Amino acid sequence: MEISHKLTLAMTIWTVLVLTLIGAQNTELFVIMILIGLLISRELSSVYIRPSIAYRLDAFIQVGIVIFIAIVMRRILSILELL
Amino acid sequence: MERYELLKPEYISKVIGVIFISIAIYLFLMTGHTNAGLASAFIGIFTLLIIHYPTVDEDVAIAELKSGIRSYHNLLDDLNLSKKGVIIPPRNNLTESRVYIPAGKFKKIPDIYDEMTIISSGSGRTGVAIPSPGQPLLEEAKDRIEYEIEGKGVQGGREVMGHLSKGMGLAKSFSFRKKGHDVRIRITLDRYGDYCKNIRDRSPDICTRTGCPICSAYLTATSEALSSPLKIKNFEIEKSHIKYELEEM
Repeated sequence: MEISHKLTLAMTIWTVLVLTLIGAQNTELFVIMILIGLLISRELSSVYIRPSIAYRLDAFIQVGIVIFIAIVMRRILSILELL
Repeated sequence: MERYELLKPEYISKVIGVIFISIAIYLFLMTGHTNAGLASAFIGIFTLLIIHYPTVDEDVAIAELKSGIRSYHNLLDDLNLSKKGVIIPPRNNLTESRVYIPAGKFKKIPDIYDEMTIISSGSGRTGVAIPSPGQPLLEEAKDRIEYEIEGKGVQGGREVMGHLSKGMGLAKSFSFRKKGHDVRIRITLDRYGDYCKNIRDRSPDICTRTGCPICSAYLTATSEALSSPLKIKNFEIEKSHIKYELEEM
């Protein structure tokens, strides 16, 4: 099995597991858990994956980080009662 | 048997990705399951962008590896050279690793330059210095780990060998030990065992002269990591284990 297949399988299992545990309740937590899964898989596979796949995985992580920053900003604004 | 275009693995993965994205669109538009929609969209996009299939079939790649090394050794067999080679890392005027195969006994490695293949520097220092057959595989591994191994010692060697084994799947496992000037490498072959045997049966001297491209990648990695020429002292095969004993020069 190619490393990219293992990576996709691992992320699919992780996503389904997170969805099962969180359910339909908390979208923010769900997105953050997916980002954590991405970061772990990127770190564990960094030695074995091709640079082209690494760049694509990094793009997913960058999008995830932007969403994470948005979530944090939203939380801060809601704590300060500005939202 | 002719395969349908849509049943090719690369298309199947794309179809699976599109199905997941379609489910995600349905979940977003028709139901209130936001998380399930997000999960489905993520799996779909991940499948579309991350799954990679090699463009060259494994059988074709193996045949290509065989053809290169066979023609190499057919040439060497006619030159009546020593049966044991020396792996030389880049140094002085040499910018890429070479394998020096002397003609007869020798005490000191002659000066080797990039443009030299046939060496005749007098006082018995004659032989050939050919590019290491495993250099392209090693370059591929080094590009992937984005890590310079030159002079990094045993640890650097193990790092790149780990990628050759687990990342590129060239061997099942390896062992790399150094004691004084003696270096020992053990490569446990897995799916390339038959390839290795086939090459060895055709050219029995291949393993001690340069090694096949797979073994040569490991030997060249060792030489570059230790930054010193390595003379092949001994070679053994034990089931699927290939053992090399090398000597730092």
